[in-house]
Amino acid sequence: MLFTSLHFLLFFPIVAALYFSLPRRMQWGVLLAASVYFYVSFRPIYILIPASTILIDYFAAQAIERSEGRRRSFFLCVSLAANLGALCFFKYFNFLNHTLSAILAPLNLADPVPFLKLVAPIGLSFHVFRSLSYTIEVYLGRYKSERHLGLFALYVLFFPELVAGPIERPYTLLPQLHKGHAFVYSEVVAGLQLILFGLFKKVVIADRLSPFVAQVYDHPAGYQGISLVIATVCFAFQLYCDFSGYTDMALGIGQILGFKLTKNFDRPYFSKSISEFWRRWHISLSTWFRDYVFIPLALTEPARRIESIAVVEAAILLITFITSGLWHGAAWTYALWGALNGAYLAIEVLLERPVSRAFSREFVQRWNWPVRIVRVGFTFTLICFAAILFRAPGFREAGYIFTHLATGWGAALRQLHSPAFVKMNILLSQDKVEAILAFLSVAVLLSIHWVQRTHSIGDILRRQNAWVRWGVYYAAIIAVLFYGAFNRSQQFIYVQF
Amino acid sequence: MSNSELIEARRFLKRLVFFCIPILLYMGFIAVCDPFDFLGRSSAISDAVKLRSASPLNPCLWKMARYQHDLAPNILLGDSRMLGVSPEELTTITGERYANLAYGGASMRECIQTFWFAAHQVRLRKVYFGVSFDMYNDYNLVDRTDAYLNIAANPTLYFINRTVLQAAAYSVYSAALNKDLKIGVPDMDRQAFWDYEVRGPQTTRMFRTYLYPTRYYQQLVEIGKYARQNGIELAFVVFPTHTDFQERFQAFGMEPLKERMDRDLAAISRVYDFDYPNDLTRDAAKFRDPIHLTEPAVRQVINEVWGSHVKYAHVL
Repeated sequence: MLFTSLHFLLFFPIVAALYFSLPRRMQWGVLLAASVYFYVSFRPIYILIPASTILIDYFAAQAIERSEGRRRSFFLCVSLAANLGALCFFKYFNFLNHTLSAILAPLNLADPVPFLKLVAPIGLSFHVFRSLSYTIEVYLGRYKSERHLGLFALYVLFFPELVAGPIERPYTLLPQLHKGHAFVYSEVVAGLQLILFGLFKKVVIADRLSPFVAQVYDHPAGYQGISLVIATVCFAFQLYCDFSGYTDMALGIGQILGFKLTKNFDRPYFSKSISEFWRRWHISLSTWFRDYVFIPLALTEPARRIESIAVVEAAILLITFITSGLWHGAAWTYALWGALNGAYLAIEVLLERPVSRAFSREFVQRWNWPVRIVRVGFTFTLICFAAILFRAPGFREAGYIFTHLATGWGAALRQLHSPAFVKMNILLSQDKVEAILAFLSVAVLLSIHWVQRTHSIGDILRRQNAWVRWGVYYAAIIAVLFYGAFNRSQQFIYVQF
Repeated sequence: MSNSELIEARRFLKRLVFFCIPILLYMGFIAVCDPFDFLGRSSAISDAVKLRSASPLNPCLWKMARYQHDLAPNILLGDSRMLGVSPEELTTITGERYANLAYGGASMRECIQTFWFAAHQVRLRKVYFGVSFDMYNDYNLVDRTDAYLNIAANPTLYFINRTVLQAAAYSVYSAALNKDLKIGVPDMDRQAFWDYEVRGPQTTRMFRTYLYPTRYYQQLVEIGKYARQNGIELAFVVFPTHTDFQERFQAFGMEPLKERMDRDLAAISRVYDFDYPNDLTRDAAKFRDPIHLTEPAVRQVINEVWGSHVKYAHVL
């Protein structure tokens, strides 16, 4: 049951109506039942996975709180083993097995361990990370263990965030779960606005761009530079709109129910550097890795011994990002994608001083806008370049794309007058109207983001009279319903993670 | 819920109802018009009007929806050339019920999709697949069957489909003003259209970008296999084109590919090939335009394929 499905359209109003009509002390029960139903609608038997990790984490956290010394670490390890064990088994077993087979192949020891027919449980990486942050926070003494098993289960399974995040921390979500929530008109309207914006991103932009990307990335060998660049830029927007669209819907659903969930995206393609990009893209995951991987690694004894802070930071960034890459998917292309992003950041850290010395503050201030545009463009180019690894089906295809990005441009420019060439290589065999709609919808999105730099769209709407507001809502609904690509795959990219 | 909450909730629900009124009215409008007869419950607009105003906008949606309501075990697939074959006439000749699931401007992809759609609805007995060289092209990626298949899987999509909205508006206009909309009818006289079809930019582009359809061929092989396994009589009909058009594709060096197409199709099942220079294809009077036969000439094709009076057809 995805947010864009008819099933959810029936499910959510019923849940919301029950939630607000029951006494506050019973609201958590409605949400927990709804979350369990939401989970089992994908694959009922898999509910046993979160059920067991919930029980283990619930008791482990209390044991951590009660214990001292090594026993605390022991209970933390139990929680880590349970969560990471489930994650590794379902997500990485076949991947590791495949890697092992490849290593042993020269020794004529093909497939020493049988492959398993495993279907990854929905949102596994997300609820495992949510659970882990809870036990780690309790271990670090920054959060008291939750005594209410039902509320803790709801924290892990909370349906708006179950499938693709954001990855909440215990101190942001659990206190909100303890409180009852009133029906607040303005919050419900703001939540619906967010859902509508998320739907626009998902069905109008991401799903429309999807066939353009698939056309090239499924068979890249048939294409040269210009088509590869167009498909890669399309993928950058598809990925952003798909994931941030889902997050907007999750935040909107949460807001309707009275929750303030963690913001996951902050117009990332307007970032002026890679470090800024990662502060604005999948924020809840970036901060998770910062707090639970990067900082602990930086505080280890070997890291402290090295004198150059920049070198330590660069090395740990690389490790953190490779881990983050593997979190996204069980394939070495994801690991390399993470490594490339880590390398970007490491280079940025190492070049920070020389660059700031080379360009004076006066120069940067004087040429503020051109410098900003160049930096945003350069950052976006680097992100697109790395995204090739994220989307390509394998190393061979990714390698082909990397090596052919700059080829065939001269011939392409000479053939731009040929409709057949434009159809095949610019429109990527898609309909012209679809291409125009895709371009226009991305332009609308960027314009909205541009306005969001200084204003909140919600505030602007609130200041308008009802006719204007409703006109905007109807226009958005018409755009979503009639210009949404409902006929295509409605899967969300991040759902598979 | 406290009193103030109740007031807020009531205010919200009241506004939501007001907000939804235009949406509900719109849905009611579509349900009443039902331009593609998908819901099959409204007779507010006559079938004749729907046929004129909705079917040209998406013939796949139109025909597949109607086929769902009235299944037949024998089907005709193909483009506008097969469209000219009257199923009623076939019933008279063969005594069996036929459904014509051919579409104007159809692509191979659409015909293949339609075959599988029909095969999932009913136990098929006879399938006549109209194939022509210009349609047998990997470059032709058009697929309008998607609309119906998606709507059948999720009927709410019927109400939010742009083509359905357009068809509903055309149907109402046509019914209210008793006027026929000329959708897809060329605004040219016979000779101008003849020249356009033979030498026009669209034909030139089609031949220039032609790609022999290895992908579609594989899918036809699958269909052939399925037909043999399920006792379905499958035949390909290669409709005639006028020699002016044949000369045009010869000028592009396409003849060996046409021969390859004939060979490939014959390897799958029986082929009736009319598309070669003969007395039928040399006679311009037998053609409405270079690729479409006149009604009497279509009857000649029907007699040869379904009446077994072979005169012009190469049976491969």
